[in-house]
Amino acid sequence: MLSHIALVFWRGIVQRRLFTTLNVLGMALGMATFLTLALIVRYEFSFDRWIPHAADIYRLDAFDDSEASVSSIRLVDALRAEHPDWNATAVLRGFSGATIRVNENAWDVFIARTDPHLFDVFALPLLEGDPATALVPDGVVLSQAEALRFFGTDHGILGKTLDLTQKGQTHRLHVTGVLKELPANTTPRFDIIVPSSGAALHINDLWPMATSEIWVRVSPSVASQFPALLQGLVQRHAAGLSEQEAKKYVVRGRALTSLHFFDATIGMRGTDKRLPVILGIVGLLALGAGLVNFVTLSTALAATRAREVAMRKVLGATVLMLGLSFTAEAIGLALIAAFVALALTELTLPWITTLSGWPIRLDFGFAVPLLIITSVIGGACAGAYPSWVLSRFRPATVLSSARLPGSGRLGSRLREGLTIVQFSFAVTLTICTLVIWRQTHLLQTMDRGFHQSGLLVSHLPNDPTERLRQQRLSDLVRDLPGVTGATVSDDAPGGGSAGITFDTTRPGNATPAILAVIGTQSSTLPVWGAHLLAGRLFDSSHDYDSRPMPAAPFDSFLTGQALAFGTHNVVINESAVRALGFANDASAIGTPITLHGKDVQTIIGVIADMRFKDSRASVTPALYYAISGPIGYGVLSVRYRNAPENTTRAAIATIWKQVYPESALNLRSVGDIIDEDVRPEQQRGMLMIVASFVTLSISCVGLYGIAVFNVRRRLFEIGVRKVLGATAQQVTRLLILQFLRPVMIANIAAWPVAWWVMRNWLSGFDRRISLSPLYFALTALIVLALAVLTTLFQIRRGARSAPAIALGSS
Amino acid sequence: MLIELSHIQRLYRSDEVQTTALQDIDLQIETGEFVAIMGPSGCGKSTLLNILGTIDRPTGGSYRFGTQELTAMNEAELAKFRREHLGYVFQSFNLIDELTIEENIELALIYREMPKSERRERVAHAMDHVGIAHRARHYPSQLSGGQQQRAAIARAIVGQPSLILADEPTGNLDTDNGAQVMDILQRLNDEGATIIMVTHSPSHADLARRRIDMLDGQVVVSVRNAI
Ligand SMILES: Nc1ncnc2c1ncn2[C@@H]1O[C@H](COP(=O)(O)OP(=O)(O)OP(=O)(O)O)[C@@H](O)[C@H]1O
Ligand SMILES: [Mg+2]
Repeated sequence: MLSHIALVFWRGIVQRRLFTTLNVLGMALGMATFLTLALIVRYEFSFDRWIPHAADIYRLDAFDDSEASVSSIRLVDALRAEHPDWNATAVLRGFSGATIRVNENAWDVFIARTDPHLFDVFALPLLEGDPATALVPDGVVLSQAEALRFFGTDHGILGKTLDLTQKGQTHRLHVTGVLKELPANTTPRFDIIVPSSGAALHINDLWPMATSEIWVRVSPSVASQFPALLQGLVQRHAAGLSEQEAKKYVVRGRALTSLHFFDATIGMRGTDKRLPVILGIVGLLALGAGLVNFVTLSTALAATRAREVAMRKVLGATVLMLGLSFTAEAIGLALIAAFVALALTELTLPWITTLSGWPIRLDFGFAVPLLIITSVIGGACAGAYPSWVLSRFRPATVLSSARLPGSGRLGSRLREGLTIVQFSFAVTLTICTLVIWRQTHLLQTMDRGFHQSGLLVSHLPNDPTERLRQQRLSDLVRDLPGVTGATVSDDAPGGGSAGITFDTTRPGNATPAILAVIGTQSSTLPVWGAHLLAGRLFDSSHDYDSRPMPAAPFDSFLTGQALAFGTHNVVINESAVRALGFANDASAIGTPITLHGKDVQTIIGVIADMRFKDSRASVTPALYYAISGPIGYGVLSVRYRNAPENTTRAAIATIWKQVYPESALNLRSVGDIIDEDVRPEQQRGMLMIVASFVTLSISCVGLYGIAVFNVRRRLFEIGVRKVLGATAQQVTRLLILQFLRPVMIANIAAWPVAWWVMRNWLSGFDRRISLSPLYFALTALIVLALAVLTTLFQIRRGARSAPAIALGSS
Repeated sequence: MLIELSHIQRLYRSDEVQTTALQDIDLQIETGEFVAIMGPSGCGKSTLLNILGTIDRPTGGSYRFGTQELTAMNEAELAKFRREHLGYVFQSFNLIDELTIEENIELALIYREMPKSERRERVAHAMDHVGIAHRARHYPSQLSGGQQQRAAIARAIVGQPSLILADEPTGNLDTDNGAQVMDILQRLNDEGATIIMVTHSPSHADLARRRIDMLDGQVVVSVRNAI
C-alpha cells in the first residue's frame, strides 16, 4: 500500500510536471520567506536568554517621573543595607568619552564602571582570567573584540597595561580578564569593564542623578515579592531628598529577559515589540499564500483525478484509504517544497542579513522541525478537501460518462475563495510596502530644522579643570580654510547631553510646561543652520543674550538647595511655543517666563523644531540659552563649506592633537549619524519589499496554475461558444474578467486591513506621510496588471484554439 | 441463488422533476450465469448495473448477495464487499493514465492485504488470460481501444471476483475487437465466473445464456438462450 502511494506520488510528479513545479515553487517561496522571518522573530525573542541564570536577573529601576534604564547609584546602597543577601551590582556607563591609550595609539571609548560584584550577577564566560579575582582596583576586563583592537590579540594579555584618561585624569590599568565575545542578542553590553569603587562609582551620589544600571540576581520567590520588598525603599534611604520629593519615587524590578522589548517602551534602545510581531505576521502571510496556492492547485488537480478516484472506489478503496493516500501525497509534495525552501533560505540568507541588518544564521535544529511541521500541516490541508470531496461523490456517474465531470460549483467557489484570500495577503503587503517605502523616504529627506550637510560633531573631553581649552580649540578650528563656524553646546545633532528639564511657567498659564534647557554659545544656532521663525537669535552685543556659565548650577539645582541659573534672554523652539500655550510664534517674543518658579527669562526668538537624533520621536520642547565661555559636557559642532570633508577632518584632527594630546578624537559627520539612525527603518523597509514581492509572486504562480487548469477544462465550453459565433477576442475578454474578479475582490477586502495596520505603524512616527488613497489605487493597478499578465497567455491560447479541436478533445 | 433483487426502485429527485430510473425490479441470478441486459437508451440498464455493483444505492427494495443484505451496509462495508466480490468493466475503459497497464491491473489488488509476489503472479496471469502481457509496461494512451478494454477486463478479473459486471464493454470498440472481448467474457463464464453485461448489440446478447430486456425502468422479458 505504501509503496503504491509512493508510486502514484512519483508518477504524479513526473507526469504533471507543470502542476508539480507550480505547486512546489509557490509553497517553497512561502516557506522560505516564513523561515527567514521566523529566524528573525526568534532572534528578537531570544535576547539575553543565553546569559547564565537569565531568568533570575532583574534590573531595578528607581525613578520619580518617567521610567529609565538607569537609576541613582544610591539604589544599590539602599539594597545592600536592606537585603545584604541579594546579589546586586551597579554599572555606571560613561556617557561622555574616555580615552584609552596603549603605547602610541589612542582610542575614544565608552567604558562601563562597575563594583566587584558584577560577575555574581552576570556569570559571563571569561576567555582569560578568573572571575573571582578579575574585578580588582586598577584592573580592566576587555571583550574579545576590544582586546583585539587594543593589543592585536585576545589571549596572553593578562597583566598587560593600558592608560585610561577620563575627566583629565589618567590611570594605568592592567588587564585582569578577557570576556568571551557577547552574542549580538545581548542587552547589557560589556566591552570595557573598569572595576571601580568609592568616589569613582559614586560620582553622582544623589537620588535625582540617574546614571547607573542596578542589577540583582535573586531567587524566583524573592522576585515574586518585589512589589512588597521594594515599596518605600527610596523613602527609607532618602538622605538629601525632601519628604515630598522622596514620596514620588517608585522602584520597579524588570526581568532581564523582558528588557529588550521593555526598553523600547521607555525610549531607551531595545526593539519595539510590534516589529517582530509584524514580521511574524508577514511571514505567516507569505506562508499562507504559499499554502493557499498549494491547496488550490491540489484541489484543482483532484478534480482532474475524479475518474481515477471513482475507479479506485469501484475497486474497493474506502474513503479513509483514499483520503490517507491523497494526504500522504500532498505531504510528500510539501516536504519536497520544504527541502527546496531550506536550500533557498540557505542561499539567500547572506544577502538577507546584509539587506536587513539582522545577524541571523540558518539553525537547522530550528529550521528543519519547523519546516516539517509546516509541511505536515500544509499537506493535511491540501489533502483534506480532495478527501472530503471523495467521500461524497458517487463513482457511477463519473465512470459511465465519457466526459470529465465538473469539479462542481463548490470546487470552483472554493478555489475562487482561496484566490481571494491569497491575493488579499499580497495586496495588504504591497500597500504596506509602498507606505513604508514612502515613510522611510520622508525620514531620509525631511527637513530636520537645521542644515544637515557639511556639519561635523565631536564630544569634548569632560574636564572641568581645563574648560578653557574648549575656547582654544574652537578658535583654531574656526580659522581653518573652508570652516565657516565652530561652536560648543550641551546638545548637538547626534546627541550630547539632552540638557536638563525644568518646569517652566509663563504669566497667565498656571500649569508649568516641561522644557529641556540647553546651553549653547551665541554662535551655535547659526552654525547649526537653525530656522528662525520669529524674533531674533543671540547677539553677544545685547546684555543678557550671552552670560558666563553659573558656577556648578545643575548640581545645586538638583539638590533643591539654591538655583543660580540667573537671568538670560532665551530662544525656544516651536514645540515649546505650543507647550507654553502661546497663540503663535510671534506672541511669544518678549514674554518673560519663569524657570522652576525662580529665574525669569525673556524669550527673544523662536526657531523651528530640530530633530537631532531619534527620527521617530517627537521633538522635546526646548529652551536655548547662550553662555559666554566654556561649557561642561560640551559637544563641538563644525560647519564647513567648499572644502572636502577629508581635508577638513584631517585639519581638525591636527588641531585636536595640539589642544587635547591626552584624549582621542571621535569626529562624526551629522549626515552619517542621521543615516545610521534611519538605517534600521530602511532595512526593515527592504525586508518588507522582499517579503511582499515574494508573496505577490506566489500568488501569481497560483493564478497561473489556476488559469492553465481552468482554460484546459473549459476548452469544451470555449469551443461551443465559438461554434455559436463568439470571436476569440470576446472569449478572451470574458475569461479575463472571470479571472480578475477574485483579484478585484481581494483588493477591496485587503484595504481596511492594510489601512488599519499602516495607520498603526505610522502612528509610531512623529513626522509621517498621510495615508493617501493613492497607495491603495496604485497597488490595485499593479496587482491587476500582474494578474492579467500571468493569465493572458493561457487565456489567449485557449480562446484561439480551433473549436473542432476543443470539441474533439472532450 | 447468488443474487436476489426484490422491489428495487431508483428515483432521481431534483428540485421539481422526479425521474424513475428503476421501478420495482425483481430479479434472481444464479452462480455461473452469463446475463445480457438490453433495452433502449435511458431505460435504466446502467442504473441497474450500478446498483448491482454497489456504486449506486437503490431508493427502495432489497438486494441480497448470497446470504448478505447489501442495502443495510455502510460505505466502508460496501467498499470491502466490492474489493472481495466484484469485477467491473466499463464502456470507456477507465484506466488510470498515470499508471502502466500492469500497475492498473495491480490496482485491483492494492486494497487487499496480499504479498507483493502473489500480486505480481496474479497480474501476470490475468494479462496472459486476455492476451496483453506484451503491453505490461505501456501506458494506457499507448494502447488501442481493444487492448485497453482487455486490460480493463484483466483488472476486473485479477481479484477473482464472484461477479463480473460489464456496462457496454464493446460499445467503444470495432467489430473485431468487440468479438475478442466477447470471446474472453465467454471463456471466463465457461471457467465459472458469473457475468452480467449491458449491451446494445443483439448478436453479443445472444452469446449470453440469459437475456433480460428492459423498458422504462422495468424488466419486460427474461429469456434463456438456447446454447
Ligand atoms: N444523475 C441522474 N440524475 C437524474 N436522472 C438520471 C441520472 N442518471 C440517470 N438518470 C436517468 O435515469 C434513467 C436511466 O438512466 P441509465 O443511465 O440507467 O440509462 P441507460 O439505460 O444506461 O441508457 P444508455 O443506454 O443510454 O446508457 C434515464 O432516464 C436518466 O435520465
Ligand atoms: Mg448506460
